[in-house]
Amino acid sequence: MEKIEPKCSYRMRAGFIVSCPTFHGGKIFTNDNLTDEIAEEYIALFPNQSAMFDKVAEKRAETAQEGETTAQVVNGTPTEKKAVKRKKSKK
Amino acid sequence: MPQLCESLITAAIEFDCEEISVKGMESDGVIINRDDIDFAACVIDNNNGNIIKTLALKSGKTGYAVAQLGNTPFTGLVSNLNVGTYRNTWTHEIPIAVLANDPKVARDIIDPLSNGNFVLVLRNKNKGEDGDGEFQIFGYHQGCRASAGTNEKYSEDTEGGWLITLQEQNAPKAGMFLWNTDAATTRSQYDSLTS
Repeated sequence: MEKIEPKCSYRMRAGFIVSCPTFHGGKIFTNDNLTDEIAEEYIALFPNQSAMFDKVAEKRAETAQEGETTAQVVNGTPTEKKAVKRKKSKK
Repeated sequence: MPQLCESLITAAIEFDCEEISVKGMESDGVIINRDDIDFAACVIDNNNGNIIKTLALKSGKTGYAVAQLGNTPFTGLVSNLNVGTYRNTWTHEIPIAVLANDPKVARDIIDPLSNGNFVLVLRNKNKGEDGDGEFQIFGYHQGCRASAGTNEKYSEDTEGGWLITLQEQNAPKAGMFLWNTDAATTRSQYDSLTS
């Protein structure tokens, strides 16, 4: 399995894209070109759409805290649910 | 007085010389476990109940690509009218050839296809006037379940692989389509089903 850092703290649910005439001129945003800034701007403008976004930012925060949690790639597909926590060794 | 839900034709049946119908399907599609669809978040077009603007999946779920080889992918795909006592419905049949046979295929594809409930998004070669006829959805209302399956070791067609037919029975609509704004937007949404 490859270990990669997600480029964006947010990931849109399958079937969702951002495509709104009044948002960045109707530019289409998918998980391929989504950034934290775009996601947060969109959610701020359309808070009822926040459910479209799965946030992996907490997991990155957990990574910073524990240094043990990562988003893993299984078979070439990022899977946040596959993030593995290694137990801290007891001293 | 109770509403009778009149079914009235509202468009002329004409032949458009600029938009000639094209038969067949493109070779790729998407299959989704029906339980993974977030129906509450799906959006149906207010002006056309046969159009789904957003086919939303639940958090963490994904669709899976379906690829069919050959000159006539999804050959045998057909929709038939069922005449009911009070209302007519449609049965959609989608044959899927799986040109492989091993334990992983049996576990990950054939057994689930045999017993699961699915929604499929397939691509018509006939795109329609604005492109809104390309992405057709099967199983949105009733789900697609296996109605037939074979593994013929000397089949000239499947060459020892599998042929599974999924069927949506009693669908209230003749056809459901994925369409949102324009072809580029809809294509992006279709691609996002497997992202």
